[in-house]
Amino acid sequence: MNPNVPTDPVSSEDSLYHKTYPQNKYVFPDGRPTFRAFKPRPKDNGELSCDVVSMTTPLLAVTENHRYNVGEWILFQIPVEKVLHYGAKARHDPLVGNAAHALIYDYGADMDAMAADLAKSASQVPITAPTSNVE
Amino acid sequence: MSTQQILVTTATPTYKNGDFNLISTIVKRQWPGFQWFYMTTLSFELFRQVAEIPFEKEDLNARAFKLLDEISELKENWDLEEAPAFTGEVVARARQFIQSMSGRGQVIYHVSPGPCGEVSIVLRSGEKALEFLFYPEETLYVKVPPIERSTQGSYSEAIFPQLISWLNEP
Repeated sequence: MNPNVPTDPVSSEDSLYHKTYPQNKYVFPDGRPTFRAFKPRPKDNGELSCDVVSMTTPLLAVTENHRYNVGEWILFQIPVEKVLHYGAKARHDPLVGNAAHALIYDYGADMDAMAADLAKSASQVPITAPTSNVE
Repeated sequence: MSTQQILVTTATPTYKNGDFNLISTIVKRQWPGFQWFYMTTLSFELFRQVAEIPFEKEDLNARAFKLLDEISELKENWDLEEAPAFTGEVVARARQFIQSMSGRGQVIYHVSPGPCGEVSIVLRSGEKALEFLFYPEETLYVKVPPIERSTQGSYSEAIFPQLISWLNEP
């Protein structure tokens, strides 16, 4: 962790990117995220991996360390204000190679209800693919 | 018959002995102006048998069944984030639920996989949604209003009327 990067709460005026894979499994027919898109994985201890919008770009958010192929992912954006409104929290969690990384946490006991509330507050973000291949 | 061909069949009574003329037309899509005609005469009894072949009506939740089939084929780590595969028991419970919705005439909006081995089935009415979650160990429901906070609980068939009333109330 870089000691110069804050690990404090993400500003309520900022927004968060959250990516999911594969594209067609986390999207309703109307293009909005399914209620499952914002449910933390078993390995994530109740926290959801995100990127702070003001610290990255949609393209960087889905090509973290050039590990992923742009076309396979879908990117959602949620205002931190909405995260706080529904009772969850967001904090910086910088990683080596991704200073923009953050976590949504404090889902509460009713994690599925919280996941639904976060999903209904999020919208899909278009990703501009680079001209060269990104693997 | 190839997918480029359309078979159109008409039957008309002969007015002689109760038989029917059966005319089949094959229209080749790539040659719209070109048609082949086949004509044969069927006895009334044979026509009755042909006419009474029950055509399987597509289920109103056919898309939901298809999505569930796709989910059942996902392997472990399908989301590249170590999500587990879906157990046969979970898929069977979800399938039974879709069947029961079809039986009630209730259209399912969407079926999707979850990251914890759960299958999500969503009903929608306007901006309100009702989610049913089939986990390996339990079944939950989530009431999702458009703006207010969502609420969740343990699902049993007995509370379905109450949930559907909430969904459909203005």
